[in-house]
Amino acid sequence: MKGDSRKDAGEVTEEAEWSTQCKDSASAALRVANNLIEEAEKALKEGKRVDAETHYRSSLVNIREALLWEPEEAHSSYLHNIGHRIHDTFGCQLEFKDGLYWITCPVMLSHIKGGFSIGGSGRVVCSICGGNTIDCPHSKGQVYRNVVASKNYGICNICEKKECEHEEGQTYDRARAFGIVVDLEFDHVSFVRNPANPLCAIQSYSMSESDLLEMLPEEEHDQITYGDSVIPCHHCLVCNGM
Amino acid sequence: MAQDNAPIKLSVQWQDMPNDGSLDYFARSNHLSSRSIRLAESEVIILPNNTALSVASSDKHIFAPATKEVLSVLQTDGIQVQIYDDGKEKQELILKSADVILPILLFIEKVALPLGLGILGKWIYDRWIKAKTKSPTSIRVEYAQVEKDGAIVRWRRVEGPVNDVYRLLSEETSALAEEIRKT
Repeated sequence: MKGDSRKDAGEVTEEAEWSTQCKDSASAALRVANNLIEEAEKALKEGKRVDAETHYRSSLVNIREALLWEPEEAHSSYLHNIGHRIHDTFGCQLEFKDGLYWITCPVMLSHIKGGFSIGGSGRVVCSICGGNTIDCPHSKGQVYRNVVASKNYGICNICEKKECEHEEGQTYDRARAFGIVVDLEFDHVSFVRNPANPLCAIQSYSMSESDLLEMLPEEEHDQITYGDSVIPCHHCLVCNGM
Repeated sequence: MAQDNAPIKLSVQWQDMPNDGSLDYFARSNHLSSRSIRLAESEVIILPNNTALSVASSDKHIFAPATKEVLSVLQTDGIQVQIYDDGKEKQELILKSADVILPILLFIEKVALPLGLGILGKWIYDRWIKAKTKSPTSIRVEYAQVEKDGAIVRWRRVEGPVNDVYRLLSEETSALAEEIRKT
């Protein structure tokens, strides 16, 4: 049989690999955020307020990305902390576009749990033998030896990467079987609590007049003209993300 | 006025799927061939989840991603099991979320029912509860039992948090074992 089965003791599980990927992605996002914050602070010192605000607000996107990869209180707190700094330095207001007010701030968006998930069906081929995963003798997640390397569909069947040092035609051990989706037939998009890709999150949402009035104290309702009024946001004053 | 934003907790329970008790109805509902089911020579058939998507196809079957794993655990514990096959193409269900849909298990032999569900329950426990891996948001378990004369005796589904589903599966297994013991 193509690919002998042997489960290695101490083999890294898929869950552990995913956990590592989330951690690494969060760290990478935070590095970008921290660089932007440094640039922002430098610009502020030089009196370049527009540049400073741009860099600061961009950093929020990256901190939120870190939070999506690793939903930890520390990231949420950091996000709100920077948001607070931006609020105090530049002020914040809702964007008005296409006849609606929009929530586009990553700090506000960080409170929405859930994201988008596609659903459908597809022919899935086995990375070990190239056969249909339902019919072939291999099981996804199982580790096999004597696997011949191939890069069908642009992915290495040994390491799942697009670029690597594995040579096609050579035999390798410790190749984990996975499925390669080909001929995907798309069926639907769902809004789910835990999307497989944590970055498939809401990027903005609109607020109708009734939504807006619901958020404001009743005594302020008469002061608002939907579309004309500047609507400030003070979320970071009242929430620290914890 | 402060709004109560606490989520409403729905109790997870077994749902008896509507049917007229016939294998033909069961097969039609799941876009299967009753003839292919009758020709199967095993205690359990792993069926596709053809109704999991908005539109079922007439020229292929959609199997849950965990189909091979479930096949393997049942076979390892000595159950005669096969994957449904009527010649149509087999595809996989692709859902990019943390919800897990397990394949439908059709039990041909009554005796295999508590055994098979018990094995499934143990696999669910080992896979998600004991291993403390990130639990799916929800997990769906569905099974049916057909008698030799072609009558569908039961067809049930449960869906919810993995701990709740595991608990219900364990209770169901015990109840079925007791039922068989008494007959």
